[in-house]
Amino acid sequence: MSNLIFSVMTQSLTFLPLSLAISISYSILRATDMTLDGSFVLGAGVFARLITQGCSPPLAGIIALFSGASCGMMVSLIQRGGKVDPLLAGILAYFILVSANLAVMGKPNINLLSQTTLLSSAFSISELTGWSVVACYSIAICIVTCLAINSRFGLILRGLGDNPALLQRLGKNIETYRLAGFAFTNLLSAASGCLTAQTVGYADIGMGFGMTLTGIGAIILGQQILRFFIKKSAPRIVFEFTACLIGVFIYFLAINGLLRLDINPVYLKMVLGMILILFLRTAVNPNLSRNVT
Amino acid sequence: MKPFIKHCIILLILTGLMACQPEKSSQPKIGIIVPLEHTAMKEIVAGFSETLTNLYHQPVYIKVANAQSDNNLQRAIIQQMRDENYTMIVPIGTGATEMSLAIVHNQPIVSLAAKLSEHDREQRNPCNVALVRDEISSKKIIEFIHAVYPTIKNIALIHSAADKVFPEVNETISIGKQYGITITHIMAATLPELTSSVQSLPRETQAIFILKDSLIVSGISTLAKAASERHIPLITSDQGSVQDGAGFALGVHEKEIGVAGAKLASEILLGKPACALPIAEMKTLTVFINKKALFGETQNEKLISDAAAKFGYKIEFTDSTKKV
Repeated sequence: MSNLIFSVMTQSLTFLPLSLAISISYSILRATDMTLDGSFVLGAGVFARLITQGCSPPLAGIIALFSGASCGMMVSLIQRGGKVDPLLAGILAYFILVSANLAVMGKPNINLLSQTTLLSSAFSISELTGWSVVACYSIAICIVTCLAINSRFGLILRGLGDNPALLQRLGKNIETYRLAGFAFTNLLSAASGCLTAQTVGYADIGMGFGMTLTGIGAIILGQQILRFFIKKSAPRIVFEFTACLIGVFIYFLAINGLLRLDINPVYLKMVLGMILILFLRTAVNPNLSRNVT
Repeated sequence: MKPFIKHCIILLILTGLMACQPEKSSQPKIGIIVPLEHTAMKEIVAGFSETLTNLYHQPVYIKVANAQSDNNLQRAIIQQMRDENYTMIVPIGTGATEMSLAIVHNQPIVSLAAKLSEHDREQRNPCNVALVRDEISSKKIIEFIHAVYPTIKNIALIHSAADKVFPEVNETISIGKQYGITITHIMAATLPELTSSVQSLPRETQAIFILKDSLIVSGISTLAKAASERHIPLITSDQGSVQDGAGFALGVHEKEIGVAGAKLASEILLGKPACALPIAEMKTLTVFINKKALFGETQNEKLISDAAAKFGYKIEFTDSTKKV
């Protein structure tokens, strides 16, 4: 049992920053940003490339984060003035990133197994120490994200997602905040990619494929479950982020749990989908009003 | 009781059952990690399983887990195999091998068809990995193509962004120059891109060539059709693509990769440390020929047979109707 929980926790820790990015993009900015898949790989790729070129791990990490942020700015500029639909802008940016990632990495796969990274010294002591450091990084990112979203900046981002026209009438430059919002979400995605590359030992051009969809699924799952338990109104950000944590944990618990039940991995996703459908059908009460402020 | 709570209780009971799974019998457990669904993977697994059964004369439990190109699933599979103390882990491909090396430190790993060097292996502490490499020298392939078609000067090399083939592309191009062949490389990152890539092949293309590239091989029928229309040869690097419509290939039997892996695995089961075993390389090359496809491409099968005889390569005729 402890092995199962440990596996679930370790997978959830590296996925958490990405899920927060998806949550902010989907729930707060009200835009399904497909660029996050590409930023995830870019963060991993930039970090891996710099490490193999002899750059110090902290500097490589910071540059990786900024590279993710620049992707977000790119997608925001594509959408500028409302001329391109956000979903389409994300997809177009993703296409650009497919080539950009390959150009940055130089090859589709960069091996990090024998490189000194931010986590290598911790993992060389013991696995528990290594994952404790990963947890520290992940929790620190979550805390910074929560503080940012609970600040005035976060309030304006929420306004941007809910009612951009009102925000504009209040004299706020919505393009600047959109730029900052997408930069922030893609920075989180790059952070997740960076952490993941160090824990799996490589950066690969295909490692981001399907991550956004998985994240959206996990977040909605968490929201549905949380709505069942929270009957009264809850502060929106607390609700969203808690739902994020719950959804990610349940998703990885389901995958790892079904594997341990010896379900053939070929049928695993079908079984997982059916279980989640059953779960949600009984969890969701359509009569409950949306209980967030 | 509310259905939701009932389902939660059922899930908790299931979770408890997972934790209380009775240990399988004491026979060695071997976990094979297949990164994606592909005929080549099935052949490697078949070669491994059959050979190991013959070499290691005791019952062995072999579990084949397909990660379906999902990194999260692959990681969960590897962690499960580690936590359940599998005797040995056998990842296929570079990505699965690297992930296994990052997660598994105590159990021996027999890596099949991965791009890992002796240096990478030596860096491991403790060293717990044995390797089977399946790369075919680009020089041998271009040399063979030149022997079959000495007058060919323009070849289109179609490839994906897979880590297995990408590094070989530049090497192939520079070797082509040594033989006076201009190799134009066209990248198709997805299957839909393959169709448009094929339609925009340069007019002067005299042959289409693909490396051991699972994505491109999936679209072999598109390439075969284009080759047939242009009456140019489609040359590949694996047996499966010849069965699916390519004219001929210089490659290895995928099953042989599994066989070589099983030999290493049986040594490890008999007590030899993984690191003490030499890296197994695929040295026996075979020329696979599809007569029907060659006829469609209006190519002469005798040229290929003569070149194969000159280099001492075995010839195997494969048919579109016959699958291994």
